[in-house]
Amino acid sequence: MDLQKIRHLWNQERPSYVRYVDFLQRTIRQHLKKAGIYADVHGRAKELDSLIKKLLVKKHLKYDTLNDRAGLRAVVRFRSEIDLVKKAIEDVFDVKEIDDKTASLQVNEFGYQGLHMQIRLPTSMECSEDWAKYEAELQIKTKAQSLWSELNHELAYKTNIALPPEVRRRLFGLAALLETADREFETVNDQINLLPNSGSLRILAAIERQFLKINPVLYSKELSIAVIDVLRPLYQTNEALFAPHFEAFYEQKSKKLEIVFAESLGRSVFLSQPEVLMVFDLLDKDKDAVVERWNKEFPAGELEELAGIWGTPLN
Amino acid sequence: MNTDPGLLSVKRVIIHEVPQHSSKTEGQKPTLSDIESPLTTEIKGMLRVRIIEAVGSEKHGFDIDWDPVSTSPIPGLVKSYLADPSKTDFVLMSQQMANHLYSSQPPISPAGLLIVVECALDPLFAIVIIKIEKEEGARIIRQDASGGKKTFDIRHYKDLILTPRTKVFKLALFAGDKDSGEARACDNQRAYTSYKELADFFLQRFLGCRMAEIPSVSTKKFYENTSQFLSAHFRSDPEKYAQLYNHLVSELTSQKTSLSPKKFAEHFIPAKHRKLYVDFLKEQGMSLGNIDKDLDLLQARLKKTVYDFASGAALIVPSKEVEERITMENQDDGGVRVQFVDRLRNVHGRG
Repeated sequence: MDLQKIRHLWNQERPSYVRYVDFLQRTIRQHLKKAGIYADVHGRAKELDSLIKKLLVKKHLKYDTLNDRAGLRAVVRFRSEIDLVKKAIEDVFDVKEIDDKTASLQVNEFGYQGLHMQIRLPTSMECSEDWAKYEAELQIKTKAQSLWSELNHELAYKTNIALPPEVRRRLFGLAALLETADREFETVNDQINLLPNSGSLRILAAIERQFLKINPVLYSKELSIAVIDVLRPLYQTNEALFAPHFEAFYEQKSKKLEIVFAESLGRSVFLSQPEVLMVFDLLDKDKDAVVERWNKEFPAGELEELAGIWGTPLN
Repeated sequence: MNTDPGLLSVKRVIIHEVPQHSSKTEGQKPTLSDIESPLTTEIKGMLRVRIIEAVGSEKHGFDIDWDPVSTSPIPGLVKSYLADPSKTDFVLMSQQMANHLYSSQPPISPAGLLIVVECALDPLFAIVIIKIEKEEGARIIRQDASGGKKTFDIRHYKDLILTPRTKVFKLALFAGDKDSGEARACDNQRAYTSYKELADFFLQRFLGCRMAEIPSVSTKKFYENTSQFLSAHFRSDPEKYAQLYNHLVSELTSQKTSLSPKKFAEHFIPAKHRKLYVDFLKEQGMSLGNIDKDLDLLQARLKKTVYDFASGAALIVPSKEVEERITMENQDDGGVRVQFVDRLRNVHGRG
């Protein structure tokens, strides 16, 4: 292994990989947004030292076969969302390989989890450079899986010390604990959504899916529920129909929503709240009824602003 | 206007100062910007909402179209811009507009700012022309921009231009492409009789436009649609039906020079029926905004009110006498007791 040659090669190629990762990041974010999935996406082109160290430690690898020179991670909230991201990625990229680290664990094993996908840009995709032969490793993980892998990496690898068995057992114990936490969060979320009085949460979930396509930001659920509770009576429809209703709303208004959000940055806190789609929908249907209900609970000026932004002024 | 104002986005803006044009100020001329005003995301957002609020105003907004007999240069400038913005010098076009405003305005028109905004109203191009009366004593400072060119910076006049507090605000939006177009204006002076001359100046002499619908036709439509609605929804309550019809006639025959269907709904139509009424007017293609009242096509019909009864009886009363002479009271059997007070002049046969 000629490390000098590798150093030289990577120093030459890395700037292009940096741009490649940046392009992938933007493309993945854009497509997850389009699919209405919230995920924290970030990436990096491997640092020179890290690349060389990996080749020194993993002797079976060669410079050309190193598959994580470009690496990205998409972190989701719940385990069920991993599959949604996987499908969205498969729709857009050429997927060379999928490695389900979670599925490959034995029933009595706990440890590194997540889904790894080896991806390439499809030849049909327009880009500024020739990245046809570049590959990237995309890791899809829940927040808990991401936390374990980061801390495990920090504690087990970076110390570079052979850990005694009881310490290693503790690390795997933490993996078991975080897997349990992951499952519990998912179960609790499902159970909350099934509670008889959780109608507003279910409506929020239906609206959120469309909202994230336009503005994938974290928002205040408490505020969302408060607004939905106030405006819900203006819909005569059954809860189950909210999802198709807002899907159709998004389909019909996607161009307008794009303009409204791009032109109104910072004009109202509600533009970072999913329920703003409900407000817009109702302003189109019955302005007076929205005003009457809104003004009892929230500042009138905020609705005036939203109505102006949406093109249905209240004056 | 059929296009949704929510599809509006602001691209460029330029401001010119136009002084009053009277014998005392002879020799003055507009102070023109050489280049566009700098824009921030915040200002663009504010301006966008201000334009939307103006064109969407039910109280002050109205559809307009070009007046074929006008000699104003504005229609030509706007049409050629909309046909192909890339072939138009935006700054020069706006300067020509400011010069025309100055040379054509009557002496009573106070000094102000002319603001020209280049917009998109997806998928159309759009031009917005705004005239704002300048506060007495408000200093408008033209600054050097890059290359020594002068401009008025809209950021300094945020409060004057971009808030609904602006006292006098006249605006017109023209949207279109090389094949078609549509336009809407807003004038917060138009409803006041004493300012009608100024309002007409802005619309007709300056913009070279006219209201899209002849006022006498709009007034007639309002009367006919409202009568139809009342008949459809209140026939089973004769007392209310007659009362509402009287309100309609009073509204039309009052001294006010304009009427607003929306205000009529708010003041007279019972809450339970208000939305139905408003939706019905919209379905009939009526705007809910102010209508310049013109009774030319209704004079005869408004003179007398006719009450037809199931028995074949009819009561014909001069409309202005109705309130004083007739009282009605619903009966439990669905009938109505009508009391008519007058002096009998004659009794005779008819047929």
